[in-house]
Amino acid sequence: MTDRREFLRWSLLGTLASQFGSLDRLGVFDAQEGGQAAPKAAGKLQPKACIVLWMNGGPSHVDTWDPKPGTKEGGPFKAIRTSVKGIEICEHLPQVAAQMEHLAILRGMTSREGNHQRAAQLLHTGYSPNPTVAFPALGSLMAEELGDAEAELPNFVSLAGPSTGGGILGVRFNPFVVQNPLEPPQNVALWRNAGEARFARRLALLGELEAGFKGTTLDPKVDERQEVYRKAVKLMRSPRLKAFDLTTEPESLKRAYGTTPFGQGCLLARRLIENGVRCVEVTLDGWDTHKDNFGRTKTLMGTLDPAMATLVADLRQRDLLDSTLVVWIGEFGRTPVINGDEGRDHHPGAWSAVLAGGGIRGGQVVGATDSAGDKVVDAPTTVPDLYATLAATLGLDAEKTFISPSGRPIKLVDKAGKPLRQLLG
Amino acid sequence: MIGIRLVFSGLLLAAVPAPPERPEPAPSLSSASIDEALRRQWKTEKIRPAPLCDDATFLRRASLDITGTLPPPDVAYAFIHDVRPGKRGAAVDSLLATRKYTDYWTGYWDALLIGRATRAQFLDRASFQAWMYRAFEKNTPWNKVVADLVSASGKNSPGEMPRIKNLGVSRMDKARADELLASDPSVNGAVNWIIKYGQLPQDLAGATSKTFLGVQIQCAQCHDHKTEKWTQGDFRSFASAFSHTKFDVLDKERKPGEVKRVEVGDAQRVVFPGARQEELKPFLNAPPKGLDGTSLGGDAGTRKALADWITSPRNPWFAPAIVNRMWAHFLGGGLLEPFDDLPADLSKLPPLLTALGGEFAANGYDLKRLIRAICLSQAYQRAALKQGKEGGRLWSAHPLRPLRPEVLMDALIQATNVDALLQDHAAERRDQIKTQIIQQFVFLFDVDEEHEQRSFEGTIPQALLLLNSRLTNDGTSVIPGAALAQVLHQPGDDATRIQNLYLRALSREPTADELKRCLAFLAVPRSAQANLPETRAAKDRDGMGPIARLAVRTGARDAREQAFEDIFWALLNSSEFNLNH
Repeated sequence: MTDRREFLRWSLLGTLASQFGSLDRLGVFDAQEGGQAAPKAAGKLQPKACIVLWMNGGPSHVDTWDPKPGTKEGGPFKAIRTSVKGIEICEHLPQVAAQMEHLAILRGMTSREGNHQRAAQLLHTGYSPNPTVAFPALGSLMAEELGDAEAELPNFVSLAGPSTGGGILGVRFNPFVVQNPLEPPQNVALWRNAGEARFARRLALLGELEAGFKGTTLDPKVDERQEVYRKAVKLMRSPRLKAFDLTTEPESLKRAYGTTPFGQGCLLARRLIENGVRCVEVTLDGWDTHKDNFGRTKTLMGTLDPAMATLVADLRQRDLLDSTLVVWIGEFGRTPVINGDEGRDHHPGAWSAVLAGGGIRGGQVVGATDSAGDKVVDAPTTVPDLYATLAATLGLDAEKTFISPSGRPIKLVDKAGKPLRQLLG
Repeated sequence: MIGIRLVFSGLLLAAVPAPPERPEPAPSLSSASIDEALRRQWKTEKIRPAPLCDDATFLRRASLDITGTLPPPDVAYAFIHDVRPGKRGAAVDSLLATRKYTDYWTGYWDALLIGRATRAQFLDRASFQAWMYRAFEKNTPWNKVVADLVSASGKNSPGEMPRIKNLGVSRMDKARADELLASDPSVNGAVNWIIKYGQLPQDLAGATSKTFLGVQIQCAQCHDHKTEKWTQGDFRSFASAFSHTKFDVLDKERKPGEVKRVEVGDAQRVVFPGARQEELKPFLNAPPKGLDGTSLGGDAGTRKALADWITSPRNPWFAPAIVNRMWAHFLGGGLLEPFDDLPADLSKLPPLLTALGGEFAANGYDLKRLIRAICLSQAYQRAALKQGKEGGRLWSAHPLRPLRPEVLMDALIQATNVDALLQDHAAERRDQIKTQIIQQFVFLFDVDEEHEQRSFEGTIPQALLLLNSRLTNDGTSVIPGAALAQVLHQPGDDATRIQNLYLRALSREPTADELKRCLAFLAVPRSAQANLPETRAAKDRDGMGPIARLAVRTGARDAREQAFEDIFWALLNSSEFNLNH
């Protein structure tokens, strides 16, 4: 669990740092600012935020959001009623079922990418992978379009998963990855023998070296690198780092989310959003259930259900749900046909995604699959359609064009994507 | 794909009268032709080139580019003070003769060709690396290396090899390569590259064309190329050249944690896995052709025909593609950018690239010779001095380039001597620890390829690692056997010690002013700080636990030693250390 001493050291650093500002010649160690800057464009609405629940491995749609009870392919799980009349989901998602009025299930998702890596790229960026263009992740797009460049915390944080990077937008829009949500982020705390005074001394020495090197090369890249250092030190000193410290949360709430890394990751996601982070991705791994699909899927839902339901309820209680879009996705669905190992294989042709909050109209199901869950029979929805919907909800301009390094124009959302009007408020 | 090519060199060089017809016999591949072309160009463009870099900078630059490692401090010192003429050429020759050259380029091509591979079940990365290792060890002509890769057949693995997932972090050395290559003569490690694309013939074709020909034919996968003449039909016919490749899985049973053996070969019929899939049919059933329309047959010999076509001296893309890639590696940007996006119409190539390609082909596709020519050219030896906004155009100054992740890691480990510490104090876990460290670096410093970067591209987590990690902090501590302790215990005064630290980290001696500042820093009276115990011993994700515990036990004894630690830390965090210049 979290080491309180480390967090204490962070905050100490924050309060003492300003005393040493004068030692720093290049401004790496500039004067302490009070808290996060107000949202840019004061007077306008705070930009929206997004929490992506990434189900790594490709979750079975039939065993979660699109149950087919009583069929050969449906498997052993029963369907249960939800808070919305007429909508049923898997029995192992009872807490989420009680939040159904805030959720929209997209049962008509379809793609052609059945390979994990390619499908993960597609779902993270809205584009099928293309070896000539590195498409940016949703979180990178949000950081670039909606983020505050001077924010102390990174605008895009990934918990327990690598996610996808900034691609053509540049590495500065890569996710800030925290491998274990139960531990402080790596390398943010000062080295144990570097007290604040010593760290300031070191930065001053470094500043001299940088000034000297700049003098011999006259290359602005030296300043650009110093700028990255400045932001890193700003992060180290930020009082907002406390967002990563879950120890101040009530035990009851922590238990409600579930004491799993994913559950605590969802709680951390909420705290980060409260502190101005634009996009947080939380990964729940293990959905690649070629074997023992039902045992493993049930266990995973045991982790997912309290975390996702509590996240929606918690956001709502804090009046954050309307401004925070929760997106539940994985690479693809899984075959209705149960294989010889009691498993299900990759099934990109038909699967489900779930959206909640962010101003979308909840309490509805969009699209449908056939009686087995094999093919989409109503409202087929492509990943570009999903991205067009996300863009419309989050306030991203889908038509915005970026130029890749090779000179190719790239639209923020694939032009084939059409937003699902029935979801937009 | 719309390629607004940055022909910053090409158009300009094209204004110069075309070079004379290639004289017979073959022109030599040397720096003279590069120098001549650029000298004329600088004159025409009225560019004042930066002065030549000093010896220390040259050795560091060439060591990093040729072998991926820093020059050892004693080597740097000897080179700086060597007064013999021709020492730069001698240095390049000796770097090319080291094992580190082979290690480094094996890693370079492994990262490029295999990268973050996914098919770990069937992909024996070690056997691939061993194959690559031998190619670079023997300086196998580049046309033979590529032909052997494209047409590779045989077994992927001797069996019982561990699966390596996700990040390609394992490394090859001579002893291991020798052992692997001797273990089973029926193994051809090269097939692992084909296996990587075992379900995606279109990606195999795209990678082949892009990597070895610099032609982005895969842009024509879904539609005709927007700016080049390539059609969807061209792409399909090119991809179809792989359609007779067959994969026979030899290990049918489950092999948890082990690579399954696969035999790669060729069949008369179209057999590529997935050939029956509807969406692959257009690729697999088109008549196999080279990009210029040369028919490649349509039988078990098609892949061989493809390899011959790609590496033929008449193939106009093959030699320029590797020359431009190597130019980009050494000079921070290709003669044409993006360096792996050559035009269909080769009359648009910069004449210098055409000429160098011709010379490379005429001289036996000899990579070491190409590297020597580039490294001893006037262009490569310019100082990194950017005069004015346009400064550095046409290689009139050397660009600042970030170190590749594995190079940066090696440089840190080398400068701090952490490797020797691990050897002494954690010998049995050394490989595992180094893998942990490499994983961090590959993850945090991952750069896709070395395209020209106009601005510094870096991230906050990278800076945080350099600022606060145990590698850069405990590594710069006074621990017996580590770099700083060695420096402190050598005879001589503090000025000598500062000089040694500079040689270790920056491969140069400090200027008089730097020396003065460092001595002044040492002289500031301050109280020593206690060496604190680890508070996070249980979390040893960065692998530095054993070193950190040593540092707690030993560590700096007084304020003066701590000041030395501070200086060393600052040197390793500096742009001069972290960039190749």
